[in-house]
Amino acid sequence: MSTWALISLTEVIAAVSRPDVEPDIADTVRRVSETLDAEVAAVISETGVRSALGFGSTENCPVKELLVLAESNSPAGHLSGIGPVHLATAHIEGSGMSLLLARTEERFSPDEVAFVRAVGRVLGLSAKMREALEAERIAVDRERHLAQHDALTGLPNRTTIERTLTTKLHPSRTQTVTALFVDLDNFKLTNDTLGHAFGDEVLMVVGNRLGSVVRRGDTIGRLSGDEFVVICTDIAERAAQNLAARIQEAISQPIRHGHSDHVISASVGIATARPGDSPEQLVSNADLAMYRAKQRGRARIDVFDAALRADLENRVSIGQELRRATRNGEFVAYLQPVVTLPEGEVVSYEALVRWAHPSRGIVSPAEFIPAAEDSGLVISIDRFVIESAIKIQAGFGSPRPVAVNLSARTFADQSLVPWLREKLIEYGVSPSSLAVEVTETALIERVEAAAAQLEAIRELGMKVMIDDFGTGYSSLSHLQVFDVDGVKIDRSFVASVGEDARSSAIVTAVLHMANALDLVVVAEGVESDAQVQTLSELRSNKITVPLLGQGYLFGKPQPAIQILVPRREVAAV
Amino acid sequence: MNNTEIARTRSNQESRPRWTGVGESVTADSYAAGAEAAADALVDDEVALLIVFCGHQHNYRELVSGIQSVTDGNAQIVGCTTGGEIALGGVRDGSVVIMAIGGSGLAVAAEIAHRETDDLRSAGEYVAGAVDKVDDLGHTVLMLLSDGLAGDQQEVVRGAYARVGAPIPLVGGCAGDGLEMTKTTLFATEPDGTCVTDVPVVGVAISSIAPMGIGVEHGWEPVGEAVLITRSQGNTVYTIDEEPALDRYLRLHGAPLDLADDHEAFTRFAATHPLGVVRRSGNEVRFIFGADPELRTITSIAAVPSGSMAWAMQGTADSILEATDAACTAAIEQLDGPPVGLLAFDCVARRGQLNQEQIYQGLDSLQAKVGAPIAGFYTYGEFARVKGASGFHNQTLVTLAIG
Repeated sequence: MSTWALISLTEVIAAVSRPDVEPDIADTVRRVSETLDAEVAAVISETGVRSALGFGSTENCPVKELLVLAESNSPAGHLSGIGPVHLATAHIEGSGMSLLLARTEERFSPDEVAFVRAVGRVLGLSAKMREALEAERIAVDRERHLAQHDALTGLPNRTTIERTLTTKLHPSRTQTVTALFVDLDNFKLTNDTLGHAFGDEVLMVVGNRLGSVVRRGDTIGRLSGDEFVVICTDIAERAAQNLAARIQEAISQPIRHGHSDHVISASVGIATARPGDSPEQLVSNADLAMYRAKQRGRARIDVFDAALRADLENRVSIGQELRRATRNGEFVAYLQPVVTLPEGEVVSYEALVRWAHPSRGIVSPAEFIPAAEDSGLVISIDRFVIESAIKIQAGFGSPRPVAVNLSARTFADQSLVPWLREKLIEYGVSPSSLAVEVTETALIERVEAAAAQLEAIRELGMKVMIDDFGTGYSSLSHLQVFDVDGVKIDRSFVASVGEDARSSAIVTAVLHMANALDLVVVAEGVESDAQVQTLSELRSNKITVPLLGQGYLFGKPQPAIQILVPRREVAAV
Repeated sequence: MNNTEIARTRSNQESRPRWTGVGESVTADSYAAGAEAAADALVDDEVALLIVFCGHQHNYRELVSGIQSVTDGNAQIVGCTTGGEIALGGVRDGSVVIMAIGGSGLAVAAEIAHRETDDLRSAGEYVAGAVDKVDDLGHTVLMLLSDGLAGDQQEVVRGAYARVGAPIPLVGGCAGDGLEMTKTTLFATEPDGTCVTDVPVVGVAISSIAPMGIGVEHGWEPVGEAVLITRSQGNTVYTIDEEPALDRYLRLHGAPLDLADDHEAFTRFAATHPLGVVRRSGNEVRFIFGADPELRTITSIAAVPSGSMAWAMQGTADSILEATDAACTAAIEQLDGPPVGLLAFDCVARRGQLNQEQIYQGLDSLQAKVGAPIAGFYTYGEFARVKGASGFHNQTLVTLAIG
């Protein structure tokens, strides 16, 4: 190579290897064209022209001619707008691209061709180096992002949120921090019925929607599953509630699924902490508030308060006592009669659990079942009641069936049916003398599994009732999915039947639906003759299925022995 | 000098679809000088463009107002300060020289970059838009005027070339300030006639029904030993042969090492002692316009790349005049017929190699060769791209013969 070419090559190498400047292929190519007095310098890939100098505007660039010339590797050719040209080409190694220089003045000397090839090599090496560096940078960035963000939504994950909260709640700070715990309602159902792919889409959509409604500076994170959190600094409670409402509004916009729209709702719990407070406690408080919002009927907003914490602490201590109670056999099964309406003839009983607390006396389930559900002890308690019912039937040989309640956990337990079968055989009790009551909520948590479990219970020969009917999720439609023997209309409707048109309408609808599906209907919580009157009126002539009632009007829950054994026999025992 | 020395020349074509006229004024008052020079330059109707070269002490707005007082106000005016104004009447400092261009066979359009255009490449690309605006009469060139102290002027060429490509030749020069090396000024009129003065680059597309010619010659030769530019960034050279650049540069030219302590003395010396950078086409001259006596760096008007080989360059009066002659001949040879005018962008360093007598000798030979109005100025860098992709020159004479 002649001196000028060697020197020029040194310059090119110096230019592309500067550590302080991002190497620019287009710029280097321009430099080469200036060095060679070439009018045209182009970087060409197999499919197109990446950059081209010498044609003025892009429209004037003869892309096809350049592609053909680069491919042909010939020393001369013709370019539109320029005329006959001499050519020199080189591969940019490892990039699949080539470098093409065109000059009108004179043909490229062997020196110049060698120079162009050497530049191609230098650019290739530099491009490779850059690719390697770029790949490494991407990998490191990705790793860091993955460690800090949720892979699905790209939002900060629990670890990152906790770190953010730790910073924001550092004792040196002065601003309060509010957490909005956002949980999608019935997300599990969406996932189970519409598929996980759609479930994932819902989560991504929700992540985006949260981003569109929060204030500048708020942090959004996904804690797990369908749990999101929004962290705000120095926000008034009213403003936090407004934000929660905006979040609910945004989430409730329809999401397209196939040809239909799917609508989801969210429950939001709000809690606030001061600098120095524990980040975990803040999230847990917001979670509790969200839980209460859900309990109050979903799609609600609740704010954490001290009572909620006390309630929780109470539950924890109850949980400990329940463990003891289970060991010591402090539970008792009570029975409450179910009667025909309006006659009042007893047709069956419902077995209900009571806790014979050593110091507090008889404790009602409302006080300890939530804690029992939290601790998982509910399965033992349910089984105790079931076994008591079986024993009652075995001991007293009652001609009327006894119904037992299955909590969601007990119902979902795979060992339930074999256990039931075993107990029925053990006590020699006919399955038809027992019935189970399952709440709608327990059913819809895992629709397919629930249907199978119901089927298995019915195959045993036991009847199945849906409990607290009407309080759950689109109740009526479930009657078509689940194969059951009857429904128990929730006491909340019965309490206002005849006074509230909505309640009456629901009761009427349930009656008609039950009639069509040949289901027994039980009205729970009947406390007055007026209610009996109204219920009987609502059951028009067209309704042929039995309408039953249960409530204080017909008898409070009492120990089995007091109900089933005549008084004198009790005295004799 | 007084008004009686004002030269006036006319294009001597019979039929005048294209004409140029040159007027000069040495009047100190900017308004009056503009009016006088313009009046003399307006030798015919349909003036399209007035190119103004003037001393840097002038008030540019008044100068433009003076010009507009004798034109209809619609003509495009572009101008700049110089390292000396050139007309057939002589080479002067602080005067006003105007070339007017007009006629139905010529069309012009200008584009003015503003200071907000922060880099010279974008500015070059922007002003090249003048080519899109001009009526294409068959032969178009883009004339560039630039602030020579604004950075690497090759960037202006890169920007303009990227926009217009190979078919459009580039020509022009960088404004000067009488070798003070502090501030050069460009000015131009907007379409509404208002004058803008804070301009880094102006582009004027000149389109003619006849071919135009461009000549490029410098007349410098390398002397002594070659050196290696071991560290540089942009226009600043830090080390040559791993030695502080200023020291190596001064030793290369046999000058005392404390020369840079006297700014003026160094500037005068450096103007006539360029470096030549080894290129395919020979040695490209680099005008050294500044030095830092503390950091021992030197600054050129164009990039001196790391890794390049350089020489001390030397010119003589004879070689400079020969180059002048060659640049004019080359430009005129590209025309179909006699020129209607000639613009000269001559490096201020070449002026320094000539005495007054030699300058007049050069002008006489120019007049004999061209036979048409001539105007020009001593520049801080020249633009000429007729082939290849580069087109910024130092210590060179660039001529544009309008055919």
